[in-house]
Amino acid sequence: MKLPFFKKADVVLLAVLLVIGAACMILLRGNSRPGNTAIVRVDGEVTDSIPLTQERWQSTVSTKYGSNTLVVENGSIRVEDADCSGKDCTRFAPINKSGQVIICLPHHMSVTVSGGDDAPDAVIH
Amino acid sequence: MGSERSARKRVTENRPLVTTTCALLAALALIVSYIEFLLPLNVGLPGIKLGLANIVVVLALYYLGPQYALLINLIRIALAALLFGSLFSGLYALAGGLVSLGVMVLLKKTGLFSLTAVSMAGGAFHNLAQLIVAALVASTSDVFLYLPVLFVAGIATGIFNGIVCTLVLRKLK
Repeated sequence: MKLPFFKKADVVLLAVLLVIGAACMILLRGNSRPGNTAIVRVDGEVTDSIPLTQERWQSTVSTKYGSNTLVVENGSIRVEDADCSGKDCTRFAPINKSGQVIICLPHHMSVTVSGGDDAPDAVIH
Repeated sequence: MGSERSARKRVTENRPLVTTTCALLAALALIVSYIEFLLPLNVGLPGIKLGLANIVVVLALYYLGPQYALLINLIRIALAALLFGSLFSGLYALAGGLVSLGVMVLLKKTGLFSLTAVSMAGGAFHNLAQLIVAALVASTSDVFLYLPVLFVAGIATGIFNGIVCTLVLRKLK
């Protein structure tokens, strides 16, 4: 018997997976409003709060895990460079909407955009 | 089903043949992992990738059996971490690989679904597992915002890999 590409029951499995995906989308959807601040956290602790309103800004965040170079440009933030081997964080598209996040796993770091209502905990640079 | 069982028996009861087949498949999985490491898909979200090594893992699952698929994937993950990754990327790949294979073994056992659908679920759960690890490591639940897109990407790449794997298996038998 030839190995089939698809079976009828596949539709059920696909539907179950899509329902899980759709449920997550509804539960977790971002508010897609542009944010004005980027919150940097390391191990869940807020370490920096960066305004996204600046023309162009660049700084390197160094922790005991390593360092990441963050760049703010056109109201968006991205990771320009990192001293880890994978550099996955540099492959995130620039983020500017409230709730969007860039993470750097080897450095336990996250950068989350937050909206105008959230007051920054601390402002540096 | 009958031909699948006999083909598997023919290979797995021949120790030298199964050993060399595992080595060959592990090498193949490592090479496709390396190609994906050199040429990452730049779609703005690093978790999205083709996961071509999964073609080899699914092939091993259907052609040899779950224990061989696990062995081949563990060899691939360990060597990839040593050669072009890090301890960290290895642990991360391990989480995705183990959950994905576990889900695929269970779904295959039901006998209800095609290889393509099994691979599809494997892709989706691989991404889900990695996202959970990412949330734990970075101590932020914000990353779950990306769950829907990663889930759909896992489904799509899993279907692609499943079709490729089906084509290969058809030639092998």
